[in-house]
Amino acid sequence: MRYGLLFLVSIILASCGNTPQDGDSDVSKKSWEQIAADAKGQTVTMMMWQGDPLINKYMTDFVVPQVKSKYNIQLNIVGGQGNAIVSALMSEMEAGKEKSELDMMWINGETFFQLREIQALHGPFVEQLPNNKFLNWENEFISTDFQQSVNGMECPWGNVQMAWIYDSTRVQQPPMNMAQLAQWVKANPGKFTIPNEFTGMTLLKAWLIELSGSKDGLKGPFNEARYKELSEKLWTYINDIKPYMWNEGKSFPAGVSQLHQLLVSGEVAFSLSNNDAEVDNKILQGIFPKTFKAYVPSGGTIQNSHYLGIVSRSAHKEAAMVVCNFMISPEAQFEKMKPDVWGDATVLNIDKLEGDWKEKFNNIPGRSNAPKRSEIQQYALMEPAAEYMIRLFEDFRKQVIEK
Amino acid sequence: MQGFKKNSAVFLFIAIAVVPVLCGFIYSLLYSVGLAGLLGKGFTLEHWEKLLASSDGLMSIGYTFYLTITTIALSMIMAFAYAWYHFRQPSERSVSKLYLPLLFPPLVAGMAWYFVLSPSGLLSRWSYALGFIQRVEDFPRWVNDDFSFGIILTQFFLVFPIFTLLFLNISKKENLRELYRTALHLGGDKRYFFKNIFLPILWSKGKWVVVLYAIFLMGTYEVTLILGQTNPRTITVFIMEKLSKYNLNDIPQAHAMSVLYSTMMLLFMMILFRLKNWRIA
Repeated sequence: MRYGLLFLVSIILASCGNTPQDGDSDVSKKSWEQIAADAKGQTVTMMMWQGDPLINKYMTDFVVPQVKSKYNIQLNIVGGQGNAIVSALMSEMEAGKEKSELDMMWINGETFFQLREIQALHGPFVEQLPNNKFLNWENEFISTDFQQSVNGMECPWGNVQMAWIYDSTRVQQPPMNMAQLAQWVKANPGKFTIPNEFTGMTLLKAWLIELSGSKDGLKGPFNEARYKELSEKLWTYINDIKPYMWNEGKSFPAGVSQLHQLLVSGEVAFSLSNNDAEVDNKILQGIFPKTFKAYVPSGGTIQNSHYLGIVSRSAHKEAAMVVCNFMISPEAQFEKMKPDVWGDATVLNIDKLEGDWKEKFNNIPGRSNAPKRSEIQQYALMEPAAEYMIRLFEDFRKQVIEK
Repeated sequence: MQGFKKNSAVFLFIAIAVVPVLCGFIYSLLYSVGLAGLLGKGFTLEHWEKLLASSDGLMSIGYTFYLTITTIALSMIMAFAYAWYHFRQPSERSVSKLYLPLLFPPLVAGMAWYFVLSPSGLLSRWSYALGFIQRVEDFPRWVNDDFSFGIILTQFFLVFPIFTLLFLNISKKENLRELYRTALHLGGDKRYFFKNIFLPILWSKGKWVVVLYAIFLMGTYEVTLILGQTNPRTITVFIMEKLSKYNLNDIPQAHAMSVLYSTMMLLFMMILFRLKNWRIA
């Protein structure tokens, strides 16, 4: 019995002691021709959020067949985002697995931050991609992710800005800043809430910046004193309107899809989206009625980019790089930008494009119920450092939910 | 040969059922004190201190017990009543209906009740159509509510049929109908039989299933996530949030909570085993 227990503990301890290792370090030294040749016949597993049928359709009906026919790469898409990606890779690393089941993934800033914390990303690799020359690196909303320089560790894929969604038949003049919102919420009890997850926290970040009085109010690394000063004002503001919020502020939707549902059913008057074009996308799917519109308050909302990352322990880095290169090609970005396909803004600098691509991008059909990009750009706020998100999530529970 | 077979069965059970759980428990314990995990920096009690100092974690335990005890108590009362009714007036049709709620996984049941009870749900719409309410806000809050009415109701409909079927099977196996006839023949009345024979026998034979089901109920996740409030949250929702949200440094707290919960359950079971009336013969 004693020996059995000793054996058990030694097995567990042995499995805890493994440290992460980079997979195939030679990829960084290979020429693109070599990479493209080695990628042929490989199978790439990509983990991504699969919550939108149109986005899924773009991947399965456009990207997957294109990479198969052009490069003979089999791209398998599996569902999972943010936390699921980090958990999966952490578990593999903790178990000492040399090669990951995942090769690449769609990531956002907070996942980028976490994956860098656990050294799970391969790179830098973006400069090796031929289509890197078209990327709009001059745009700081693309070159900087949660105040961290991208440094070639993730490949920009799309760019979005948070927008508010409302029913134009029920709300004639949506509030444009925090002060107007407080008045509106008090005059319309039960019709506003904040989701207790990523999108909700993105809203709180924008409010922190608005409370700072400057667009650059949270620029730079995390600042504890600044956070304390601004977050105190934020909790006072939210707790002031909390009794007038949905369910008297006693509970908050667990996700943005629940918030969308509450908006559709008429329980609340506003929903939020991290994609400024989502309203058109959802109307085309028949999920939202045509009276729904999106807007960006003049107080500003966070604009950020989403990226493609490659797993450091991937056994198919070459093929993953070829897939990334295709996904930032003018052809793939153009298709993705069409409102009836996805409506995701491009990360390419259109002025750098060759042939008739520039004209094609400039002639993409306009948005109908989503605000024009050119109109909301002035209200775009940079993502603050990732620590702000972590602190806001913790303190939203302590200072608002538990009070 | 007989001894070899018996030993092999015990070994197989330990290898398949006990070792993985024990490994998980020890791993969680090591993780919670900083001795495992990618971000572990050596032995520390910091995560335990944080967990035990936060009202959030302790409230999760209390809230989980509240939900479990309430659901089990209501389900048992209803199951005893239904079993007694069926015992006196047997009907195959009324028993077969009990299997219906068991076909729904908790996630589906949670969603179904959400769409029935929520302010924009079916009941609310019918109330509006019939003129009972004028606005959606007038409908009482039965989901994500203060008393967790929605959770208790959903779990009740998942649990009470199981208990009823269990009690009916016990009454059949113990030949209670024959005993009932004899008791009445000898001048006993229904109430006496119910109180002194029916209930004690059903409880005595079914109590372990009830306890094990209560432990299982404490570990459910979906129903409490869909129908519960943001605060307090059940142990499972607490663990999942700590495991999978933005702060990787909170993961050890999730492991600490799972160790705490497992230890509490182990102690509870050990105490039960030591009680005279609960000993398994």
